[in-house]
Parts: sequence; C-alpha cells; structure tokens
Amino acid sequence: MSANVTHVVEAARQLTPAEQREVLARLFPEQTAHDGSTVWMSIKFSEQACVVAYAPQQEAHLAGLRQVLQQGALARLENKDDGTYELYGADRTYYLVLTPEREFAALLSSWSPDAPPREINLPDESTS
Amino acid sequence: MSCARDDEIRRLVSHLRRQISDESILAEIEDTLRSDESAEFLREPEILDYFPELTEDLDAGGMRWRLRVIPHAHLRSVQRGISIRVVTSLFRRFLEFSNQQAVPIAIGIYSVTARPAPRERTITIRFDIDEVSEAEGAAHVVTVVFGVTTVDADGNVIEL
Repeated sequence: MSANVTHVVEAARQLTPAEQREVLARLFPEQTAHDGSTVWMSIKFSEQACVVAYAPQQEAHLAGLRQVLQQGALARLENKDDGTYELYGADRTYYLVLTPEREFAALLSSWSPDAPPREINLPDESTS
Repeated sequence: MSCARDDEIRRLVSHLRRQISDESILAEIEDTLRSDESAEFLREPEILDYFPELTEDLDAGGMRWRLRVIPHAHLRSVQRGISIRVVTSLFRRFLEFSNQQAVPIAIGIYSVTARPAPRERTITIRFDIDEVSEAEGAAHVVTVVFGVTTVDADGNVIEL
C-alpha cells in the first residue's frame, strides 16, 4: 500500500460515521448497494417531481435539491416507514422525506458535506 | 405501500378528532390511515395542516432557548406517542450535557439519542440549531423516532 493510500485510510478511520457516509456517497455516486446496516440506492426524478420544504429555513435549498433529484444521486435510506433519506448532492447533503413512486420529496434539513450531523448519545439520567 | 400500526392510527385519529369538526373529513382521513397507502399519506403536506408548529421556551445550560417543533415532527411525535414534553426534555438534557462537557453548541445539525427515563425505549431526535449567541439560542426539531437511525437490509429501523 502506498504512503498516500495509507494516509487516506488512516484519515478515514478518524471520521465519524456521518463523515464516512459523506465520503462514501461521493466516491460511489451511482451505486445501489446494501452495506451491512446501510441501504443505499440511486434516486432520479423527472421534471414533474413535487418538491417542497417542511422547514422554512430549507426553502432556499429547494432549487438545488430539485436539480440533484433530476440529475440523479445516491441516497441512504434512514427509515422505510417514514420514507426518510439522506440524499448526497455534489456540494450539499439533503435530509428529506421521499416517496419515489410518486416522485414526491419534502426537505427537512440539509448541510454541506464538511459539516454533517453531530451524532450524540446521551447517558441515562441516573448515570449522568 | 405499507400501513400504519393500529396503535399509531388510534393516536393520530384521537389527535385529529380535536382538530377536525367535520365528521366526514375525519372519516375520510381515518379510511386513508387504515389503507395500504397510509405511510405515503403521512409523508405528504395536506395532513400537516392538522399538526401546527409548536414552540417551547426553556432555560438550560445558562442560556435561554426557543425550540420549535415543525409540523412534520409534531405528526411523528403524535403517531409514536412521544409527547412534546419528552422531546423538550431530551433537548434540555442535550443542552445540559454539552454544558457539562464544555462542548460549545454550534449552528448546524444534531442527531441526539437518549432514553427518556431508565428502562424506557430509546428515542432519537433530529434538530437544527438555527441561532446561537452567548445568552440565547434557537433550534427546530425536524423528526423524532424510536431507536437509532440505523436500518436493516430491508430498510426497517433497528432499535439498539
């Protein structure tokens, strides 16, 4: 293994799971795969797609989301019943509710790839 | 296509009964909730008219916070029987935990997992911090689920 690759692998080990997903999604943008406990799929909508924002702060990102959906991108399923996914655009990740069969997307949240969600597990109150 | 569970339908209908006076509209919604299109129906905007945004003000970690629960998160909390009091309490615990750990809270996205009380089911709340200063902050909850946001190969949420 070259020194450069070793450096990349060592750097990747330091990333949080959310940061690793941000990198993986952009390395394999068109792949549909089951990776352990993660379900990845490609999503592509037509121009007739219905795209809305469920949080007012996200309205500024609707045009970008619509463009990503029409170009097609990799998504990670988070909850099948709720239809929540993380959709990985080139320069922004979208957390949204999707019904692919109806080409419906509702934007809940979004972030730049270098600032993914911070995942915090709080200790039980009796031990905190 | 998938169906909501009976207990979820009961909670949603109970909530909707307080919001809708027209019995025919209520019956139509209940029929849809009991159909194999209920999961998709609960994702779409029309139903959110009956789950208004909620706002809670609280003091925690030496700061004054305004927490908003957007309609989508309000719907999911009612569906799952997770009260807004529990959602607010977990947010408060997150603020106090961050304060104890001397970890500054920054504008951005958080996914916080915790048990409301020992031996109770784990809950995950996802929220965005919208504003933060030395004395005040504002955030909004975008969704709430039981368990952690990890799914199996079929896309079902795994409770850990």
